[in-house]
This record gives sequence, C-alpha cells and structure tokens, in this order.
Amino acid sequence: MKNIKHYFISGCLLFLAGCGKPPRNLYSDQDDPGLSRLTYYGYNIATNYINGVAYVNPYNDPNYYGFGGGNANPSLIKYLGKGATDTLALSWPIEENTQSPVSSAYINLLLIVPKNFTASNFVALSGQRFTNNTNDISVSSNYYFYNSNFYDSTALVGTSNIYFIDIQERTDSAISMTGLFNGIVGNDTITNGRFDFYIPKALIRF
Amino acid sequence: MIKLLTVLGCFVLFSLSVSAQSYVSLSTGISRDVSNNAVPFYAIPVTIQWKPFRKYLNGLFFETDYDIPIAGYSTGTAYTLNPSLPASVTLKEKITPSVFTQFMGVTLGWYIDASKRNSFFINPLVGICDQSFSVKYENYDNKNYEVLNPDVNLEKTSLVCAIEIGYKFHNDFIAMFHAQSGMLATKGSYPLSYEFISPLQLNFGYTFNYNKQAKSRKRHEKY
Repeated sequence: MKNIKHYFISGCLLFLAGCGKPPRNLYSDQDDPGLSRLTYYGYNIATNYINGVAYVNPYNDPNYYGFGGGNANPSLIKYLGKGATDTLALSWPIEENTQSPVSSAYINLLLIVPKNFTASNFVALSGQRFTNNTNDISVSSNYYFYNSNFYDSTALVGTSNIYFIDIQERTDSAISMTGLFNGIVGNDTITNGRFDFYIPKALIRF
Repeated sequence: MIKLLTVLGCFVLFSLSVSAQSYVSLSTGISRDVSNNAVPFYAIPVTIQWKPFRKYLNGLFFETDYDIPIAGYSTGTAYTLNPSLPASVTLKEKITPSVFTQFMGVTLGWYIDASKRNSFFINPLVGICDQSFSVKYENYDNKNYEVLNPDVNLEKTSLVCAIEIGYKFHNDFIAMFHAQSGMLATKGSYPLSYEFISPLQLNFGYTFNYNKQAKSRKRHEKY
C-alpha cells in the first residue's frame, strides 16, 4: 500500500514536471537533414552544418535549470574595442544534433560596429545581407570570442556571411530575429546556418 | 409542445416510408472549403451512398466521399546568402489537399409529391475522415534558398460529422447539399498557413434502387 502511494505521488510529480516543459521547437528541414526549418516564430533555435555534421543549440532540461530550461538562449553583447570601433557578438552554444551529444562549443557571429552603436541601430540591420566574407565568426569553447580584450586560446576565428532577414524590438525590449549565416573557421566550413532567436533584454548588452 | 411532437411524429412517419428500399446512389458536383478563407480549396466530390436495408424501420446507410483535389495556390518567400543571387524571391506555393471520408448515417425524409416519388430528405452523418495536404514550392532552388516559415505536408485522420439536405426528383435523381464539420484532430505544434478542410458540397446524382419492398412496388405500379 505504501508503495502504491509512493508511485502515485511520484507519477503526479513527473506529470507536473512534464506539464511545464518548454518545447524544443526543432522542426526538421526535409531538404537539410538534421537542421531546423528557417522560421520566424521566436523558437530560439539555431542549426548549422560544420563539415557536414549538423549542430544545434542545446536544450536545457527544466528539471535541472528551472525557469532557465528550454532551448539555450543566445546573447547579444557589444564588446569594447581599443580603437574607434567595438565588436558586436551574437553568440550561442552548439552541440552535435544527435541523441547523445558529447561535446559543446559556442558560435560567435561578430560585427564591427561604431562605438555609439545602439539596440535601435541593430534593429535597423533588419533585411540586410553581409556577404563576401566581410564579417568575423569564431567557434570557441567558452562564451568569449577571440579579440584583444577577451582571449580564448581554444577559439578558432574565421570569416562569415550573415543575412539578418528580420529583426524586431519587442515591447518587453527583447529582440527577435531570424537569419542565415555561413563561414569558414580554420579548416572547418560552416554551412546552411539559420537562426530564429528571441533574446530577452537581460541577454542584450550594449 | 404537442404540436411539436405531432410534427416530429409526422416527419418520422413519412421518413420511414421514403427509406423503405435498398439503393446505391452515385453523385458528384463541386466542393468549396469554408475553413480556409484566404486560399479556399475547391474539389470535385465523388459520393457513393449505399443503403443496404430495405425495412421500413431502418434508414441506416453508408457513404463514401472522395474529393478529387483541385490545387490551391499561395506564396512563400525564400532567402539566400549567395551574393550572386537575389537576396529574396517570392515563390508560388502549390497546396494539393485530398479528402477521403467514410460515413455512416441515417436518412430522414418525406414525400413532396408522392405520385412522382419526389421527396425531401435530411441525412445526419458521422464518419472517419482522412485529410492529406501536399505542399510544393514551384521553381524552388533548395540548394541556394531557404523558405521562411515553410508549409509542409500533413496527413491526419479524425472523426467528423456532417449534414446533408437533398431533394430526390423524377423518381431517382438527387440534388444534395453536404456540409461537413472540421476535424477533431490537431495540426500539431508547427504553424501551417492552411487549416483542415470543411467541405461544403453541392452534388447531383442518380439513385439505383434495388430490393424494393412489395408495398413500394405496388404503389409504384398504381401510379
């Protein structure tokens, strides 16, 4: 009898835990296996190939992360530069899109911006395509990219193309954006990248 | 209340006499979807009804509906990083829906002109409906472009109900309106630009009677 009560309570707790679980929102693109569709629904999902292997931002189990659970958030941070410009970094963690990913890293899309660059200036980039490998990209083992202020000895730096298809500032000062990217980092080729982000205000630092 | 019961009683009494024979009917016409207002789907319905029982007290019949699809068109926008190509293109999106339903229903009707056996009927039905949607973006260069918020194929099966209101004339010809509910099934969590189809059909057809009861034949001979 005691066991039955135990099972019942455990079952209820599991049910309640499952009820509030944020969705993964990884909807497969039938043309690009392992990648998500290009969406603009604020799913906080980003996928790309690195040398043909599919990568995705990880899912944080809400049972461990609580309210931070769900798809790992990206950040949008302006890093101070020594010269006349700063570096804007759109960063998010990645892991192989497999059942049991073994390693994780960060992708940082880097834009050189003027010192007075604001969130409104960023929103104004909506619809702009930066091609011909004019931007930087880095793949690093920690959150920080390679530059003169933050040095990650394991970071690989390369060039990238970015297309901000749509960027909008929300009423809660969050920024939603969708876009495409690719790049070359060392010997690694990043292809078919796409992101659909909803970045809360706390993770936007200008 | 008594009047209402009297009317209902008369209705049932007449309806039983109309359905007192077995038949197979075949009808077709035009179907318009009422769920998708932006891109309404049209189809050519083919309906086969079979009423196997000839007893007066059994108006049960079976119906098979298949809507021969007519594709609907919408648009989608695709984007590319390739600097040698236009940043975005508008694509023509072709959505081909297919609706197959197996119904079971009861026919209720009464004679308008008994001499010509013209009758009015109402058929409430319940059934299992299978709807599938095939989505294709025409001239889509999927190597270079990515469609934003793309629609995808979908197939679901669900319970539905329907009502048919019709008129049987010149002995065995029928004209019939068929209105069908939406599906109980959900489309899933991924947003699609189209909804499940709720067909509104106007059908014309012919009824092949067989296994008529003696009483019915006698009446026919009398006229």
